[in-house]
Amino acid sequence: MKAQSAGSRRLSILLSIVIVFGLLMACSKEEKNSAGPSSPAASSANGESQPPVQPSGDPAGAYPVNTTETITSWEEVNDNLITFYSNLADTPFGKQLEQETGIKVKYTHPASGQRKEQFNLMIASNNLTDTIEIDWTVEYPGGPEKAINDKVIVPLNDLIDQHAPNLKKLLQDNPELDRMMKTDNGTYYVFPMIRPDNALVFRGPIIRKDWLDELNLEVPTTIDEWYAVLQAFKEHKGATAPFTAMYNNETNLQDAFIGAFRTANRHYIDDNGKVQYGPIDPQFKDALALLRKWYEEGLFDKDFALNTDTKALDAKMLSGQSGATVHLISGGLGRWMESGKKSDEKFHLVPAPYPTLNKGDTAFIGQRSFEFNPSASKGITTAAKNPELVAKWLDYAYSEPGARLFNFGVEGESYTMADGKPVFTDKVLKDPQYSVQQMISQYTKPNGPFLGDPRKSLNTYPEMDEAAVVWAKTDAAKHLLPGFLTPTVEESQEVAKILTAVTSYKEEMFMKFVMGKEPLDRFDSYVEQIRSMGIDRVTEIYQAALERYNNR
Amino acid sequence: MKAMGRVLFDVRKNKYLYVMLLPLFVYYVLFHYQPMYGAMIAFKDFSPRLGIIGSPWAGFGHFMDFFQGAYFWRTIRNTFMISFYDLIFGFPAPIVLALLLNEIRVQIFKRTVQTLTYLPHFISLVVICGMIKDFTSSNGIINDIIAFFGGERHSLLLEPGLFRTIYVSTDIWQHIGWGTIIYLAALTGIDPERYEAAKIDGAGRWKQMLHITIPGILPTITVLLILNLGRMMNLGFEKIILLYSPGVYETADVISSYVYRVGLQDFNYSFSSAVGLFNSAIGFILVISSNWLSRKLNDTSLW
Amino acid sequence: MSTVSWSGRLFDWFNYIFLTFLMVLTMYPLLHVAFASLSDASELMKHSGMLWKPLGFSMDAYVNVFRNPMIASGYTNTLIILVGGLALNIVLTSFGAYALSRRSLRYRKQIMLFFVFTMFFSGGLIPFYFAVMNLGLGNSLLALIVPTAVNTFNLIIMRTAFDAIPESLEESAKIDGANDFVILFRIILPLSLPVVAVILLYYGVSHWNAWFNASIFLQDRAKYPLQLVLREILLQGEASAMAEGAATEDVAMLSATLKYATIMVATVPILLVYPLLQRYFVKGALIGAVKG
Repeated sequence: MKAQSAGSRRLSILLSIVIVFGLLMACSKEEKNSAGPSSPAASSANGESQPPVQPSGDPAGAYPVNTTETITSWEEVNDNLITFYSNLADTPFGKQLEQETGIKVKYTHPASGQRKEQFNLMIASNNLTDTIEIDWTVEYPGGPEKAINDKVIVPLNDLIDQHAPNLKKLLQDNPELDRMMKTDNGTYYVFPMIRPDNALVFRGPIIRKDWLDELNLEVPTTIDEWYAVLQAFKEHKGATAPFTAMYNNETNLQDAFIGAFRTANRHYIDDNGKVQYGPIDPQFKDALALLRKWYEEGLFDKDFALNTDTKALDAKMLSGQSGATVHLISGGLGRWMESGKKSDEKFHLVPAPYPTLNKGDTAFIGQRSFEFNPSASKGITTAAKNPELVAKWLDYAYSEPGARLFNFGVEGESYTMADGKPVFTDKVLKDPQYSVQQMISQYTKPNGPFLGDPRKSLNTYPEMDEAAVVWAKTDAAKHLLPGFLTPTVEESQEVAKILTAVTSYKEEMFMKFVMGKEPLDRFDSYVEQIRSMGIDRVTEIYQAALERYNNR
Repeated sequence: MKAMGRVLFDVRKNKYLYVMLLPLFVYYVLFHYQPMYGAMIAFKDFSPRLGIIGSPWAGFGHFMDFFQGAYFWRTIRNTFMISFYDLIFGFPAPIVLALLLNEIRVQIFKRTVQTLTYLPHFISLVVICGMIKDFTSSNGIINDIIAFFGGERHSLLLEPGLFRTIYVSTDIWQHIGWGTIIYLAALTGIDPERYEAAKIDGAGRWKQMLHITIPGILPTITVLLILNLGRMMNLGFEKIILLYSPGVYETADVISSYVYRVGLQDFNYSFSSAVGLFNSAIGFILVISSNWLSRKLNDTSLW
Repeated sequence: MSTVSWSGRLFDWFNYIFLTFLMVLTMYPLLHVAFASLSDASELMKHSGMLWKPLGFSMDAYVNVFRNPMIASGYTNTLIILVGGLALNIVLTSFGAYALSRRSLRYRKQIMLFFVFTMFFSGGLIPFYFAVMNLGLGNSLLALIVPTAVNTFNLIIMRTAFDAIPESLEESAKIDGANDFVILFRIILPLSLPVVAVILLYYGVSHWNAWFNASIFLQDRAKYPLQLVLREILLQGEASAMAEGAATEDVAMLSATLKYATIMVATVPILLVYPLLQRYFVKGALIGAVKG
C-alpha cells in the first residue's frame, strides 16, 4: 500500500514536470514565432532603404532641410538637464536644432546609469532607432566591424561622401582624425565627437601652493623634490596623508610618479614603437619601491584604496589632511579652490607638472585623450528608413553655425558675439539658483557628435587654464596606446579574457607590494605569474593592431 | 490515466482552492517559467543581436572557464565563509533581539526600540558603506580608540584578516531590527494562557522562554533558516564591491564580485548566467536537503 | 506577581541597558544622513568622520530637490504603484497561502515545489524583458505591478502563519456551508492581522524601493516612480565625473548635501509606515480574536 502510494506520488511529480515542460515548450515556441516575423520585417525594411530615396531636391549642406519626415534618436540625456526637462526635444537646444536643420527628431533617453542595459535590450529586441549614440568601439560586443556585419549599423563611407560635406571636409583637412575614425579596412562607422586641441588634457597632479609658499618650497618637478615637499607637509603642516589619490580599480595617478621610471601601469608604446606591458617592466619594480617607501613613511595616504568616491578626496584635500593629489581641472582644482577659499582666504592650489627623475626632463607619460571621442559618437542603424536625412541632420553639427549651437547654444540667450567671439551671457554664468553646468545643459549638448570649439571655456580660475598647459608637457601622445585599435572579434575575446585575469592579479599584487604585505623580492615571481597568464599574447595582439592602425 | 483521474478528482473536490491557485499558476508560468528558457544562454555564446535562441552553442565552455579560473576555489571559499559567519551570527541576532524585546513590559520603550533599530535597513548601502569606511579608516573613530589605548593605527578595511568580521558585524547592525519584525509577528500568535499556566507551575522567565516562547516561533525560525541556507551561495556583490579593494581579495572576493568584475568587461551574460546556474543548483540542493532534514527533525517543512 | 527574583531584576537591568545601547547604535546612520542633509555644502565637503550636528545650517538642498518638477510626478506614480500593487499582492498571496495551507489539497507539496523552484532558477533579464513586453506592458505602470504580483518568500511566510491556525476554527463555518472564499476573508485573514501587516510591509517596502524594472520598461520620464527620479538626481555629476574620457571637460559635482537630502526625501515616508503597523503586533492577537 505504502509503496504504491510512493510510486503514484512519483508519477504525479513526473506528470507535473511533463506539464511544466509542455508549457515551456509551448511558450518558447510562441517566443520563436513572435520573434520570427519581426526580423524579416526589419530586413525587408533595409531592403527598401537600399535604393536611396531622396526626400527632396535639397543639395547636401543646405539648411533648413525641407522635409516632413521625423527621425528617431537614442541618446543619453545629460544628467544636469533632467532638473529642467525630460526630453531633449523640449529644451531650447532641441527646439533651436529643429528650427535650424528643419528636421523633426523624436528622442528616446535611457535612465541615468542604465545606458548599457537598455542598449543591450534594444539590440536584443531588434527595436532600433534611426541613430544611436553609444561607444560603438567598446560597448557593442565585438566592436564596430561586428556591428556592421550583424547589420545593426551601416557603413557611413558613402553617406559621408555624399550627404555630409562638413564632416567630409574636416576629415580631409585632418588626416590624423580621419585615421582614428576608420576601422582597419577603412570603414567609417560613426559621426564622431571631436575634441578641440585644448581640451585633450584635463587630469594631473595638484598641490597646495599656500603650503609651499609658507614652507619656502618651489612647486616640485622631480621625484626627489616631491619627496622633500611631502615630508615637509607631513612634519610642518600636520598632514596625515600628504599625498592622496582617487582609487577606481587602480590608484588613479594617470601614471604620474610611475611614469618617472619610463614605464606605465598598463600597456604603452615604448620609444621604439613597440607595445609593452608596464607592470612587468624591470623599472616598474623601482616605481613600486618608491610608492612602498612613501606609504611606509606615511607620505602616501594610508587609506588610499578606500578613496573610491570623490567625497573622500574632497574631505582630505579641503581639511588639510592632504596637500597633493592627482585629479581633474574643474571637478578638482576649480571646485576645491571655490570651497577652500570660503573658509580660508589663503587656500591656493596649483597644477604641478608630471614629475620626472632628473630635473629638466620631459615626463614620459601622462593623461591625454584623443581628438576623436568614440564614447559620445552616433552610428546610423539599419532601421533608418532615410539614412541620407539622418546623415544630413548629423552633419549639421560640423558646420560653422551648427558647431556654435552645440558648443555655445542659442545666440542672444546663452551667448552673444563680442569681437567675433562667442561669449556666454550672465544668464547662464550667474544664475542665482543653478550651477553653470546646469544652465548650460539646456542650451548646448555637453557631449555628443559635434565639432568641439576651443573657445568654449567655463574656467573660473587662471590656475585652471594653466593646468591644461602644464600637464600637456609630456610625451604622452607618443607613448599612450590609442583607444581605437581594433583587434579582430576572436582577438578581442581573447584579450578580454586574459586581461581581466591579469589586471585583477596585477592590482592585487600592486597593493600588497605598496602596503608592504608582500616582499619586493617576489617581484620576479610576480612577473613570471603574469607571463604565465598569457600577457605576451595580449601584447602581441595589440602590437599587430597598432601596426594596422598606423597603416590605415 | 489513473493519476490523471486522481488529479481531476482532487480538482473537483477542492474547486475553490484551485480557483484561488489559478491566478498564481498563470503568474508563475508567465513571469517565471516562460522566461526560464533564457537560462540556456549559460551554454551559449550569447550575442544580443542573435537573441537567445539564435546564439551559437558553447557547451560547457563557460562552466569550464569558471571552474578552471585561477580564483575558483578562493571565491568559493570566501563566499562560503562569509555566508557561514552571516548564518552563525547574523541569523540568530534578530531572534535574540525579538526575545529580549518580548521581555520588555514598558510598551512605549519596546515600540521605540523596535522603530529605531529598524531604521538602518532603509539607508542606502552606498551611504552605509561610506560610514563603515569612515569609522574604520586610519583616523576614524575605531582607530582613535585603538590609539587611545596605545595601539597602532591601521586602515582596518585594508587588513585581509578583518574584512569578514567587518562585513558580517555591519550586516547585523544594519538588519537586526528589520529581521525581528517577522518574529515579533510570530510571537503574537502564542496563547497568553500558556504563560499563566507556566507561572502557576512555578516556571521562571528563563524556563518560560525555553519552553513556550521559542517553541512558539520555531516553525518561523525553521522556514527562514531553510530559505537562508538555500541562498548561501548567492551572496550579493553590492556591499562587497563597495568595501573591498584588491589588497583584501584574498578574504573578500566572493563569487558574485568576481563575476561582476569579469562580466563587466563586455557584459558577458553567458558567463554570469553559467555561474548563476551553478549557484542555483547548489542552492536548490541545500534547500531540498535542509527541508528534508527539518521534516525529519521537527516536522516543519516548506512543502 | 509577588516577588521578582534578583536574577530576574538583574536581567531586566541588563536588558534595558543593552537595548538602549543598541538603539543609539542603530539610530546613528539616519541621524548622520539627516545632519548631512541640513549642513552647509562646502562645510560638509571638508568634513570626514562622524557628524553630531549639522555643519552650519542650510535648507538649500531640500529646496533644490523639491524644485525638480519630476519629484511630484514621482510621488504620484509611486503612490499608484503602491496602491495597485499592494491590492494585487495581498489578494494573490493570501489566495495562494490559504490554498497551500489546506490539508485537503492533495498536491499541495508539488504545487509548493513548483513555486519554490522559481526562487532558485530564473531565465535572466532578457527573456524576462520579452515576457513583459510581449504582454503589452511596455511603458506602462502595469509593468511595475503585474510582474511582481507574488513574491514566493512572502507566500511561504503567509502560508506558515495560516498553517498555525487550528483547523477546528473553520469547522463550524464549513458546516454552515461557507465556501473557501468566505472562510479566508471572514475567518483566516482577520485572525492573521500581524502577518498581514508584515506582508504588507514587505511588499510595500519593495515597491517603494524598486527602480530597476522601471528603468528598463518605462521610456517616458513622466511615468518614472520616485526612486528612479531620485536615482537620477543622485547620479547627477557622479557618472560624468567617473567616466573619464566621456566628458569633454570634467563636470563639477553637485553639492554634497543634495545627495543626503535626496535620501531623506526618498526614505522618510516609508519609515513612518512601521509605527502605524505596530499596533497589530500585540501578543496573543490571534487567540484574543478567537475568543472575542
